[in-house]
Amino acid sequence: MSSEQTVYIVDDEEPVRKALSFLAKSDGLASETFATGQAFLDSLERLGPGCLLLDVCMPDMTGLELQAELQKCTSEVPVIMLTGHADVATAVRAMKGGAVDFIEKPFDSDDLLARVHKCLNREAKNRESSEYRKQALEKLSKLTRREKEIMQGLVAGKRNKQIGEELFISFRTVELHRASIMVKLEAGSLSDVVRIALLVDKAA
Amino acid sequence: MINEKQSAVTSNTLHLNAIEEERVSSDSKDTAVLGCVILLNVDIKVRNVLLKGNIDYIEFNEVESSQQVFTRLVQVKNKIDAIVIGVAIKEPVSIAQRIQSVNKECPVLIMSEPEKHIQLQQALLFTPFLSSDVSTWSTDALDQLNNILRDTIQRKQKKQNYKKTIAAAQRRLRDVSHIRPQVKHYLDRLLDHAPIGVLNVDIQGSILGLNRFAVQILNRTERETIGVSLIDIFPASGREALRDLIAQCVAPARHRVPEVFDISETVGKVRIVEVMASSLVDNSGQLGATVILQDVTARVSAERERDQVEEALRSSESLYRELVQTMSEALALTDEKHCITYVNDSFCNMFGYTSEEVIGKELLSFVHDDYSAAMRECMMKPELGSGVHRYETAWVTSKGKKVYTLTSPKRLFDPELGYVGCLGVFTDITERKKIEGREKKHMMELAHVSRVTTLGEMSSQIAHELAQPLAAIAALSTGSLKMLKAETSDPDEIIESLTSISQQSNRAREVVRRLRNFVRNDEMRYEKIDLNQLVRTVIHLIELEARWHSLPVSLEMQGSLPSTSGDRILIEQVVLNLVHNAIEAMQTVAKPLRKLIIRTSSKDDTTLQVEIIDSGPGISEDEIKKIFQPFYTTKPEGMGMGLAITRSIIVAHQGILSATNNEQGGANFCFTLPVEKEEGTSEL
Repeated sequence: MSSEQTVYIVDDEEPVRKALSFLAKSDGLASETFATGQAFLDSLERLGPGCLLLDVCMPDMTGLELQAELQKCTSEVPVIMLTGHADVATAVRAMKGGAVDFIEKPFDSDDLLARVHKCLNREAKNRESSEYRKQALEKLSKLTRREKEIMQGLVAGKRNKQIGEELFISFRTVELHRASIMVKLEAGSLSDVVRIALLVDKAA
Repeated sequence: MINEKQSAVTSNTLHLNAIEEERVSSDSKDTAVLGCVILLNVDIKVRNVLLKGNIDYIEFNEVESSQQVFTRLVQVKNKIDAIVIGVAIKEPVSIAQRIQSVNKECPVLIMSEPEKHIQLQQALLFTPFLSSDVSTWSTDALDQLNNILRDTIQRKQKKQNYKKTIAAAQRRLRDVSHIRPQVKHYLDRLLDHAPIGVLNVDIQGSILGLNRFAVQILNRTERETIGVSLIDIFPASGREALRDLIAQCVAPARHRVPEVFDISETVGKVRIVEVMASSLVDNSGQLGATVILQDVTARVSAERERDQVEEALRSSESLYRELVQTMSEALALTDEKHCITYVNDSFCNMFGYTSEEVIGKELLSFVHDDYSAAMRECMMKPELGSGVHRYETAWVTSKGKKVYTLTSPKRLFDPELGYVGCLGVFTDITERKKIEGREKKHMMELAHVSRVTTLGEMSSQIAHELAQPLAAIAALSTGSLKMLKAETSDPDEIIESLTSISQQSNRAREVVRRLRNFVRNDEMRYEKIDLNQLVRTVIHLIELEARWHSLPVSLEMQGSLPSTSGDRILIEQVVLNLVHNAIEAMQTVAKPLRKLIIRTSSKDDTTLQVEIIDSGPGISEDEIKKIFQPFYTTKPEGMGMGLAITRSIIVAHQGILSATNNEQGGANFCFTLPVEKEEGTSEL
């Protein structure tokens, strides 16, 4: 799972970039370094999954500015902020801007690696869950309007008879639709249906 | 014989006339003719002698009879210079008598035969009415005749001239009596205009007459003075002396001395006269005195003034002596060998010696060892001491205490002898030095506080500056360890990362060293400073802050800048403060417009200049007056001491700190420092 992920490093100082890259390598992580925020943005499209180690204090484009740019183009790459001086204002801005972590330089290397791994795991999970959601949406899109109404009833925990009364249809009809939903959503049980519905709900 | 004579006379008369005419013309021609001689019946022998020896152009007229001689004498009077009577003439003596009765001055030479010569000579001696000009000459001494005749003519002419002179003098003497009244008038006028007063007084002192100047001197009219006693006109104090003076005139041949009287009291104006008296005898033989008054008011008052000036000089001299003796500054005079010849009381008090203990000793022997070399150099300087050069000196008192003075030497030169010594004035500045030292310490402390404060404000940047290398070190060391543990390592990679670790730790150490130096709290230390180098050092400290604020810093350094001297840390602090302020000021400005220039230059031969030019909002008119005051600040967290301390540091280095606004916006902070002096003399 980790093998396909890359650690992206943006820092204006070469020794720091090199050191971080070396550290990642020693832990078996692939890495790619960028001297400026703009260089990272420019290559954003071709980059695979991974996480971003971003230095806050840089000339031209600061870490926070780069973060804002990433939000604009709905990049999902998780950001770990690195900063030489931790002032509260910067930390708050970074976290509000969606950073997953905020690490002060000088850092404990093992701690840094642990956080990077944690971040990458989460990224992988997020990437997975978003895959499910995509499939669920696809499945849901196959449902008719009536089937969607009935599914909502089911998710809400209502019985067939109760759903039929609310929709002014017969109890049998509800059962037929229900069978059809199960087929379309490829669900083996009612709990599968509920899980798919919740995934989509969260995405919405 | 008579016939012969007759013819001769005729021809001679003609000749005479010719000679007469010739003489008139020769007069006009100014030919020197010695004289005119009549020859009466002179025999041929004598005549030849005379004509042959006539080298003196004597004019000879020959006549036959004595009657002709008398006629000629009457006709031409004094033009006949001599008459020679021949041997043949009878009764020559009576003829000579007649000649002399017509013209007394005319010399007569009677020729005689040798045997009759003595007899005739005696006859002449006893003949009445004959002057010594009548003489006789023997015919046996004809060779001398010419000389005798010439002498006779010359004597006669001399006598005649003398008589003419006397006659002229007598004529003039006759005239004198005619002009006497006129002379008296002139004398009176002369007296009237003479710048002295002349009075005639009788023996009692009553004025008989006086000239105009005397009237002026006595300051009253002539009418008021004639007949009045001069003694009464003089003030009472001088009367006795004046009376004596006049009385002295009666006794003659006494040495008379003029006396001076102040008669201001009685004449009604400031007047001082010198009085001289001499005896006077008038026509009646009555004794009196001529008194001469000379107005010496101006002279005496000038003398009095001079006396006053001299007195004033004497008193001012004693005043100065007093002043020198009692002045608070110590004073010493030295001779050409720098040995003390004089000291005042303050010198003794200041250094705790008596004047006997120091006089004759070398001045330098009282100077503290640290200063004696420098002072010796100052004293030995060969150039003429023009202007006052002051320097600091430390002395050792009799009790071993160190006393600081400000020394003002005045080197004394004699036009002939050259350097003759030195006058030194020493002001005790020990107390001032102490205060200065305290002030300097205060400033140093304040500066230190300010530096620490500035660093506090910069702490986040400094933290970052240290964090970067530490972060790199942490990452590299952990990475290396992991690789070594995993035994998958490439040795080259490990070496590379260890090298990098070493570099980064150096970098961190450099930051720490710089900071420690900067916050060091030391005594003020003067050293040679290369301003360009110093600015670069500060830029290292500030680099990160500048980068943080996206500020391009451009350095415009003048190459080969002369060095200055001062405390390196303090000057660094000044530059840092100003740059720090400039960066803060530009935070409100859009990033592309931010620009910081640090410029060094030499303003002139003696002054260096550093400018810190920003593109911030500049300083308002109001602020520009206040920014250097303590506790004035525009920053919410600021102490307001930064610029005040910055300025006091610059002032302590004999520089000037000023702030202006740039034409194209932004502020310009500029400070100057003096170029390091060649001799490296210590600052006061």
